[in-house]
Amino acid sequence: MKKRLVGLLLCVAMLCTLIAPVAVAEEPTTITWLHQSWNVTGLDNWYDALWVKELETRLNVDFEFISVNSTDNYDNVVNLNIAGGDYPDIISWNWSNYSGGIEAAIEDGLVTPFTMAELQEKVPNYYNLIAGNEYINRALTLSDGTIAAFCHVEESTARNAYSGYAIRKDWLDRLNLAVPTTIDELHEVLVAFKTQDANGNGDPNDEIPMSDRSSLNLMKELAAAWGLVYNYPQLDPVTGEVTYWTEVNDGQNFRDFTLTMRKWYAEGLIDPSFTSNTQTEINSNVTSDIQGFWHTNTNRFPGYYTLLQDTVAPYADSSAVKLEPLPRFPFQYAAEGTEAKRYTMATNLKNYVAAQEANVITSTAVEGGKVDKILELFNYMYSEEGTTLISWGVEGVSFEYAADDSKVWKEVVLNNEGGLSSDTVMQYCIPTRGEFPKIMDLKAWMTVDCAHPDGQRELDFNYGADKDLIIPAILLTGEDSETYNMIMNDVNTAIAETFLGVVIGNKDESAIDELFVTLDKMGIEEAMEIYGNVYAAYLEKEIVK
Amino acid sequence: MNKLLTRNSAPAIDLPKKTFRQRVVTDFRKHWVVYAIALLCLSYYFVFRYAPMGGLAIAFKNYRPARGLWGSKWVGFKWFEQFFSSYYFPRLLRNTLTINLMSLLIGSTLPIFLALLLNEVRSSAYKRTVQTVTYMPHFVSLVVACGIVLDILSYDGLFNQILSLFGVQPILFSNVPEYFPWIYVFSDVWQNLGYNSIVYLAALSSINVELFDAAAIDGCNRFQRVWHVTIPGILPTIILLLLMKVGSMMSVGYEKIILLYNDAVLERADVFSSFVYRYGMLGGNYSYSAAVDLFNNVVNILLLVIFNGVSRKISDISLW
Repeated sequence: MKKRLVGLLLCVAMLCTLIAPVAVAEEPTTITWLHQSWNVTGLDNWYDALWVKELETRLNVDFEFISVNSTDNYDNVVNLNIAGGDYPDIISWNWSNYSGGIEAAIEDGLVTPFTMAELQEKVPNYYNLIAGNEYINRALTLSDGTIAAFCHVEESTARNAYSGYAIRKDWLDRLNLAVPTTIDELHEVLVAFKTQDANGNGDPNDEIPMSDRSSLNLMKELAAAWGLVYNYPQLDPVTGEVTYWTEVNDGQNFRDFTLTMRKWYAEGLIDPSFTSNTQTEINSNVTSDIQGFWHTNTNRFPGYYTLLQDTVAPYADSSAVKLEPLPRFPFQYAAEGTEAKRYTMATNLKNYVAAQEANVITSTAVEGGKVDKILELFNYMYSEEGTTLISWGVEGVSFEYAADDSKVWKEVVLNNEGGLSSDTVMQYCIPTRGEFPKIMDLKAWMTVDCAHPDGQRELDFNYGADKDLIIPAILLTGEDSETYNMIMNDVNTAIAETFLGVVIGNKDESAIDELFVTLDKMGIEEAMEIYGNVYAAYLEKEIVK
Repeated sequence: MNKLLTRNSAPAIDLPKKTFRQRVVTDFRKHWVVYAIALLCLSYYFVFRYAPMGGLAIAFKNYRPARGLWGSKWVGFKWFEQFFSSYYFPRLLRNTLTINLMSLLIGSTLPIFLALLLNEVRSSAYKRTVQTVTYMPHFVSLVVACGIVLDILSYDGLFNQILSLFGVQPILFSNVPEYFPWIYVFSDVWQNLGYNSIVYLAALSSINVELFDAAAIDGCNRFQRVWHVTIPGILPTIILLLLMKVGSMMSVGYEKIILLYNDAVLERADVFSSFVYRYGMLGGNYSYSAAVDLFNNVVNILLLVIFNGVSRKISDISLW
């Protein structure tokens, strides 16, 4: 009898321990999130990423990502979801693709805005970022002072300085040439590459001194030496007024730049196939050891070195292969006796947030009573702990603290099949991509996308360039946006075809004058006036706290 | 036999004339399976072809997905006005018509020639080989096909390598605006020549063989037999297909255009659909896209009606 009683008591005790946590634990909040998948090897869904699993546990939420294949047209998917009327709780999207922008989406009852007071109370970490940085403040606050966009925020805009260019230093050494420091010197170097068998393979005709992609990444960078920001409204290098790159100095700078590129193309210094080149052709030219000067991002140096060292060996000392990142070239029109500025055209260098590429909380989340939980989640994602989780993963799994208290990757991240690449890191965390509410940890990003010493030198050059031409991203709304976009669509089409046509010799020089007349007819002045007014209002915008 | 006789010899009975409704009901009872099958087809057309036409309303609205089709504001002909007053409208019209007319003249006649030639081939093994080889490119995806075309025409591609044998300097064909329509049309011919000839081959096989024999007895040589028997035999098919092609005269698919063009050839390559893709779809302005598409289709229908009428008058062959 005694034994039975003890057995019964034990059973009851066991049942109690089983039931107890179930009764106490709160049900996780289900949050539906429409977010584009990224094309990451080995990561089919967000659920598989360590930081997402960990976030679910730490915040007691259950994410339901609406998985969108990265090859599908995400804009269409979002629009279909919105048109269906049954919105997910959070939508991540570039809201400039919504007719009328984010303000229109609020007006239509789709997106929920928050006052600064609400943010201060419920998302203090985000509030502190907005209140503490005038660029972020101006970029995010809507006309009524509210905020609806939860974006990734740059710890430093240096992370946006990843785009630059590099030259084959070993070619320069072979020809006893110094690293070019001006546009004229660059021209001399390219001519030497073309004529003096720079790659040393015995064939003086196989070199492509300068190459570019069809998206003109390199030419866009070079245009800054003429004080031009390719295809973006900019500040005039002399007057500081808002203008367009074809209008600077009455079009003289555009003309000079275009004709210089035309001359170089005619001299055979530029890859004749550049109008159709993709990264594949650029890589192929690197592999063939025939390309001297081209556009590089900071993360591409290791790949280029691998391509060169694997293939250059037959006729050169592969260990001597060297790429030299170059700083921006000095302004072509600097007044005599003054030091020429080295302008950059990288518009993102003044953008701490891409205000349009945002996560928003929909009215469905409000109706479902999930807003507070989502704001709590966002607040955590903007916190120091959240930033560590999203940018480095979990301590002891993907990273650990070194003796000096800095974070370093664990072996599992560093030494695997793919090496330390963006794709392998993304199994654990996302230091190289934004698009989520998060702070972009500069160091974490650099360890992956700017780890090579040459990449780091390039970053310094890019970030150290003069940013006086750049206008931070500003928001055009309503009729302004409509008129501006209609004019600029035509304007950009006309410029693109004239620029390219003149450079490759399809059109003669007089096409530039015709272009200026056409742009006037299209209403470029009106468009710049609109933009100038919105920029002036942006500068005068009260900092909302 | 008796039965037959009885039936034949029975006196004619004047049955009361049935009304239309009665006839339909009787017919439905008798052939309900056929009606059921037809219903499936009709539902398809209703659901996927007619019902969505209501959505054309967005061409006259400032469509915003969150407001829905009926909640968005009416803007009248705003998008049409914007499109017609666009700086590029005349150029787009010219390019669209040029590419379509060239496709009509070249792309539609070459399959007829191929079908006629194949019809004259006596060796069935050779005929089958030619057919297979010409059909094959049709099954290559458009992206890959355009990649092949650009590769062949590239600076060090096949064409330039052949030209270099004759001492000609390399030409970057894909950068010359004047070549673009030719590249577009002939790459289409390469991809679809064999496939498009199938319908003509089918039409050829339906021509009465006795006509060929009679023509031969009358002293026609092979060319004359083709001219006087074969071509008239497939003429209705040719005209019907041409009419259908005219019905899409204002449309050129944007996919192939954007796969082949670059800014250097825009002045000859940009057509309505690629323009709408850039201005409307990429910017999420569905109303604008719908307005341009509606305009194109209205013109297409008008052209079809006119040419169908002309064809009926001249040749007695028409779609309806």
